[in-house]
Amino acid sequence: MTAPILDLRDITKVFGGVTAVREVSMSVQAGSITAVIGPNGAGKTSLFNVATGFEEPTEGHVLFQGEDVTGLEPWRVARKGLIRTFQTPTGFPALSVWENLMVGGTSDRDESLWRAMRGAWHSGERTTNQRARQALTDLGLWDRRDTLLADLSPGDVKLVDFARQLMAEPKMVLLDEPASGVDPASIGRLGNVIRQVREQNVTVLVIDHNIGFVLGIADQVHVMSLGEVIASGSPDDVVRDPVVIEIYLGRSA
Amino acid sequence: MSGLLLFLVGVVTLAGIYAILAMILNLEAGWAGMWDLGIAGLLAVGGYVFIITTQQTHDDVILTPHWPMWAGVLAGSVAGGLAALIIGIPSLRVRGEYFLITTLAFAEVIRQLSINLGSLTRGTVGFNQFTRPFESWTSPSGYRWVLLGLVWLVVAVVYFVIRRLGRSPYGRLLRGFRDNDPVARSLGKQTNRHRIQTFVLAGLMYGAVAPLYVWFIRTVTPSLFTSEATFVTWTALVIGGIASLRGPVIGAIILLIVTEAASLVQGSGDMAVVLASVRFIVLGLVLILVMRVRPQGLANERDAFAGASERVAG
Repeated sequence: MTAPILDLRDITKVFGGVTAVREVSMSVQAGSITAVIGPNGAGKTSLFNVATGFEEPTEGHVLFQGEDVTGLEPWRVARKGLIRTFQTPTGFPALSVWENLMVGGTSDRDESLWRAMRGAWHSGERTTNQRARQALTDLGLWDRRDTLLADLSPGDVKLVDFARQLMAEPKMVLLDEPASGVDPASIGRLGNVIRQVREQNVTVLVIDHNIGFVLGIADQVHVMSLGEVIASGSPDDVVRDPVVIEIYLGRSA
Repeated sequence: MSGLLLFLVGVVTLAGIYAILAMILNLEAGWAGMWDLGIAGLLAVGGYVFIITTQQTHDDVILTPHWPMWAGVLAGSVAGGLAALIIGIPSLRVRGEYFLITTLAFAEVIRQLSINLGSLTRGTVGFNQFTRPFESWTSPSGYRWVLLGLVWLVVAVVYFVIRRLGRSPYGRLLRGFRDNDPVARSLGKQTNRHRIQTFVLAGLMYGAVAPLYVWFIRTVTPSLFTSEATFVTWTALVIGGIASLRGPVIGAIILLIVTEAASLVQGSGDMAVVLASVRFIVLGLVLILVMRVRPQGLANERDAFAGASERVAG
């Protein structure tokens, strides 16, 4: 087996007196689609926040491509190729669909104040525009490129969200509840997009409530409850696990 | 020349000055989301540094370098930028309302300093005898036209510079993280660095245009830099359309014409006092009316940046 792209080692996160994540270890293989499921309050989002630098772990380490990124600022983690999405609120509402993708794909250099003054950003803009156009065409959203994100349906917003984060050319994406608030028809589309992303060698880690959606796309599933991982395995193994049925499926389904 | 015409020239000149201030405010607040309540403070820094470094007539102050006018403008600008850097670094790390409070407090501190550092600022008496640029070219009565032209030339320059910034990837990023900072950071953007740069740029610009205000009023006293300057600028921006492109200019013209019209009414001394307070009532009414009918302002962000994708060739 190859070295994992993301390796979470004994992560503990305590907020005040509440332990949101307790000694969680989890490794994600490069090129896989891995899912984390679990009821509300299981610590899934806290784990994401720790992995991407938005929260510092109380204990434990985050290794990305073998490098310790624990406690780095979020923008530094992102520049190493680990990009996440958020459950809410999503994206830049006052920008158009096209502008949202352009922000995702534009380099730090082209966004500098100095280049803006000199007007020396046009060639980079043309290249990024090609990529944005391709991504929006693939999603069937090119015709709506000038629509503000705020005017889009929740399902389309999630697609744009995903496409914008991909414009930053991540090595791995962490998707925080991509299917929440999305209508059933769009969920199928979202699943296809996630599978296509994997084809381009981007590793995917996804958390969601929608078990059907998650089990349909994942190679590997981790089940969390009350801050701990209670089961791991293939989707088939996990749905048959009696502990999972008892704690997760049995209660909330 | 008729009195009405002279009056109008004055109003349009002042409207131009507020248009410039509102455009700078639009950059930092409308696009970058930094709600600056310290405009008067940054103006005061620029204005005082300019007048202290350039004035030739008041020799009772401890610092009289007698610099040429261009050097004074430059010094005022640099001082404004430095002041913004000093307040920006601690207050922009924490978000939102802390910045608002810090900038408001900063402006008040500057005003108090300008009153109390009498040996440098001449206290509440201030400076009232200084030369203005190109003053020797025309008669005193003709100079108001020179100033009108100068102010509106600066309006045009600032408009094109700010539009250039707004339509660049830099401006697009500002308008993005204004509404969602975590998403921008999750894309690898150093949003705090962009905020500090933008605020310092605003400080440089406020400092640089402060002399226009000084030349128009013809005195430099602490009462020039009360929070009224800040709130008139804000009102002009909100009426015109926050985060739009032309809004700040439209808002400043409408606001200044409407509020100054009150002083056209002739009357006794008592009447003048009443009319002076009427200005603020009118200002409030205009604001309420616009918020009621067109909450996004007369111009708006949506139209200002519509069709951005069309401007990229290829």
